[in-house]
Amino acid sequence: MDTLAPATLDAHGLSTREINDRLRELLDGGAGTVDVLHPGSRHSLAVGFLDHPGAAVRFRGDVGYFCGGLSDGLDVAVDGNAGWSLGADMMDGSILVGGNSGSSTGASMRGGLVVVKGDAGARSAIAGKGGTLVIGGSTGYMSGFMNQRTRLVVCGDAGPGFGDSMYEGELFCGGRIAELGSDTVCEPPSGEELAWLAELCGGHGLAPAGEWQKVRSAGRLWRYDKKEFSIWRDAL
Amino acid sequence: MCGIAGFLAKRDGVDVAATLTAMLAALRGRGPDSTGMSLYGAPFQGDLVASAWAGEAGGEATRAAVSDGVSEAGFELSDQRYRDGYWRLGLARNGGDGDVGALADAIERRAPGVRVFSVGTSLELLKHTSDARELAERFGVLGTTYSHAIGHARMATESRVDVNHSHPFWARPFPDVTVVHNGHVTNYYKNRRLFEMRGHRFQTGNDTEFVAVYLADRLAAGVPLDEAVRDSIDDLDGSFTYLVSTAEGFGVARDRFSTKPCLVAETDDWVAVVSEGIALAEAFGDGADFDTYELAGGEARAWTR
Repeated sequence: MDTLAPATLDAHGLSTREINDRLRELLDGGAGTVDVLHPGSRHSLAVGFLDHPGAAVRFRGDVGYFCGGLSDGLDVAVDGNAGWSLGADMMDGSILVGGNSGSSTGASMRGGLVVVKGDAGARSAIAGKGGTLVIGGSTGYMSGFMNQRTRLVVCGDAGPGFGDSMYEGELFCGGRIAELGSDTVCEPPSGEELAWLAELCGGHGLAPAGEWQKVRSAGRLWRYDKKEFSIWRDAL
Repeated sequence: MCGIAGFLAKRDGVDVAATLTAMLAALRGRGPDSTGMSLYGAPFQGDLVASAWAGEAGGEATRAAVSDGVSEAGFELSDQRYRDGYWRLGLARNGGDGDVGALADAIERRAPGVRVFSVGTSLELLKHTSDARELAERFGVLGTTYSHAIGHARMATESRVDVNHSHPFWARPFPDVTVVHNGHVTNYYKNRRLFEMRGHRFQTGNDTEFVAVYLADRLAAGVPLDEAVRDSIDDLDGSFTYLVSTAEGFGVARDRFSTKPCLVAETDDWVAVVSEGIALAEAFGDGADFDTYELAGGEARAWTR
């Protein structure tokens, strides 16, 4: 096979393991891009691909749970919707979803870029450790919970508990925040951050529903004496 | 785990049975222990239709005892058919008050071991430890016309693996109301005692049975279905996505923490509610043209025909 040659994989009737094995074979054989037909909302597609940086996989339909998770450098596109835990623990690369995604999108992601053009469910970027997650629509309950270093960008509304107990990282919301999480601060983004948001979202045809707001940790729960109950009271 | 699915046809000619069967078959990975369906709207003879499980109590040999129970409760048998462990009974009220709780009690008293799984004006409830396709085939579900249905693929976590503890659960003694559920309701035992103090008798120790009775009690008090499912978000603790069905339609509710999945798809012709998208792909084909969305945490909805 020629280097970077395109390939097509019809997943109809194949098991998840067979699909991933065929994908590896095609990419190992030199395919630069693989179009996967009939993914059928199967779980765990393109998970754990560590040796194909820059290769592209496009799913022509809906995918199930964990799509693109634990991968390092793979570029994944999903024409339809994605299930729970999209891009969970991914290390680098990108995932672009044309529709909606389920709960725990970008959970514990360590690097790379995940873009969901529609809405995402609850707990987006939960325990995120790096990378950037962009949601074109709205996200649900407890998004950004215990976030450590992921940049979460929500163009629409955010559900209750936004950024609850986060460590570092930054959350941006272009719509209405139903309720801030514990120990958070909400402030206007800097000019530099606004420029970054405009470039990032504009590059994917996305725009905020209103004025951008930035949410970060207030840091009151980072360090405290265990006898300082007033900190608990104030922060929680 | 567990997988749940609901399907409602907005017009005649939509194949509810085949669609629900396909969806539940795809959700088998979430619940390999048993499968169940509440099917609404099929024609029957009489005023009420009942499903009774005799598969562990003598099977067809219970015919006379079941019939005696029906008579004792003041009902008349319009139809009595046996299929693979199940009695499907068409019932006429025969001028009586139509107490379906007393009817179920009488059948079970006269035919020891027989379990009345449902009584309703349009409901037929079937559950078994088989998978969805085998269940549909075994009981002749495919090819029958229904208006709507809910179903369940069970992974047992709270009670034993058998037919009786499988979902759906009928809200005995409230006609037609059944529930399928994914999750755990953590305050059910406390609330169940409140119902027991009012004289209610539960059939199992399963939390889903409580959810069914709690909702049916509200509906019987005149609360609309959409309001009842919305209120349940406040009244029930724990992790849950459940579907409740009546003779007119079904509702769905998801706990505030969004711990259990729930996808909704709706077109001009039908509404589908499923645990995972793989159920929609199995039922409608990959790449079918309709939008889906995840029900938000703390959200509840209802649809009627």
